[in-house]
Amino acid sequence: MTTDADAPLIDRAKRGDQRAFEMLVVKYQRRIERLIGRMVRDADLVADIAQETFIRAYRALPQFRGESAFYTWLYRIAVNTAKKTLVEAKRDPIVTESTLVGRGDEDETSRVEHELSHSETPEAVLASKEIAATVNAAIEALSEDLRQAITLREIEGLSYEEIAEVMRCPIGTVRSRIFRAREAIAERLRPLLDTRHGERW
Amino acid sequence: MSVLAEDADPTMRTLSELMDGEADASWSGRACAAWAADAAARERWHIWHLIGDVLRSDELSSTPQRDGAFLVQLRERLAKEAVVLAPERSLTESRRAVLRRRRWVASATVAAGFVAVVAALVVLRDPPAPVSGPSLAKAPPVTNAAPVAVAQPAPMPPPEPQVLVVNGQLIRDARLDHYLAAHKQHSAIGIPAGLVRSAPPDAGAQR
Repeated sequence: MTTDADAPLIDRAKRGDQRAFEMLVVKYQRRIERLIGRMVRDADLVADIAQETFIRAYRALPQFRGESAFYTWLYRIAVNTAKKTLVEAKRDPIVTESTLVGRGDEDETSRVEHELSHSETPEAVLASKEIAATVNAAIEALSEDLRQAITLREIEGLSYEEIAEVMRCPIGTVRSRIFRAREAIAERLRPLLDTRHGERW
Repeated sequence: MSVLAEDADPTMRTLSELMDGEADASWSGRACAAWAADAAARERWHIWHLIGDVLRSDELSSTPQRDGAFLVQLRERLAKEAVVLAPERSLTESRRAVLRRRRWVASATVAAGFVAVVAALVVLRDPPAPVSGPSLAKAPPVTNAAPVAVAQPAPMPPPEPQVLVVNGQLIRDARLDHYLAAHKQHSAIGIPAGLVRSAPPDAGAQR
């Protein structure tokens, strides 16, 4: 796809719609935290840096020209924020060695387990694993059409038009299949999530 | 598992398309409004993204409690932010204000020009005074001509003969004199005194 999938939300956020920015936060929070987790060991600090990343992005949003994808732009802000925090942490004698992972410029592909914190209890880790297992089981339970549509979209990142070509069906059918796949997986997840219709949001 | 897209809320379907950057622009506003107002829309937005993340990597799995707490904390910080995002609407309004001012000035200029033309026409269409016969002695003294650059209204000239003809030649015409007087009066408005050299209306006739 040539256009950024986030463009409508970015435009609205630029016009002062804070809810549109929150929707982007919900979308990218986990990816940003994982990225920062590669650089910083302390999980509480990871969350703090992620918060700071989104605040900086919010401040800089009027300057975002869309020359790169929004996530690429956000990624750079996250890396810079983490590096700055690490530099400050090295100057702070109170901060222990365990805070730092090591090299500050490790990329997203390297795996480093970070320490558990208050927000990441063993129960929370277990719940996360359970959610992942349920999603994967729900995918397997989908019909072939729905599974292929959601996989091509979420994993391969294809546009609806490209998926329609691959699956040899109208775009309207692609829209419908992706929606139905999401709803079917969500239905299996809800008992685990106990969100009661988004009361936390 | 028996979810039929056709039976679903169109806003939810739009929300799904907005996730993928495939929503029609006119519908994306409705989806954002749903996020703001509808808890079910917020719940779906989170779950669907969580599903996508988990499909890409198990590492990205998280709980709604954790993600919700993150957003609540961020929302509090955003509320304290003194950042102005410069909404496009405000910019447009300021541009509109400038345009409105320009349009007003242009209209005023046109109106002023129109008034000047109407005044000149009114002066020229004055009913002609009865001709009492040509007489140079009845012509107003030319020394009374006021300087051009005076902003005050010029006094009405005394009654003059309509047409002065000497030896079959037109010497002066009262209607022309009225026109010239009105022209001097209107052209003097807004011009500082001294910038325009005054010329008696009958200077040409004296040559």
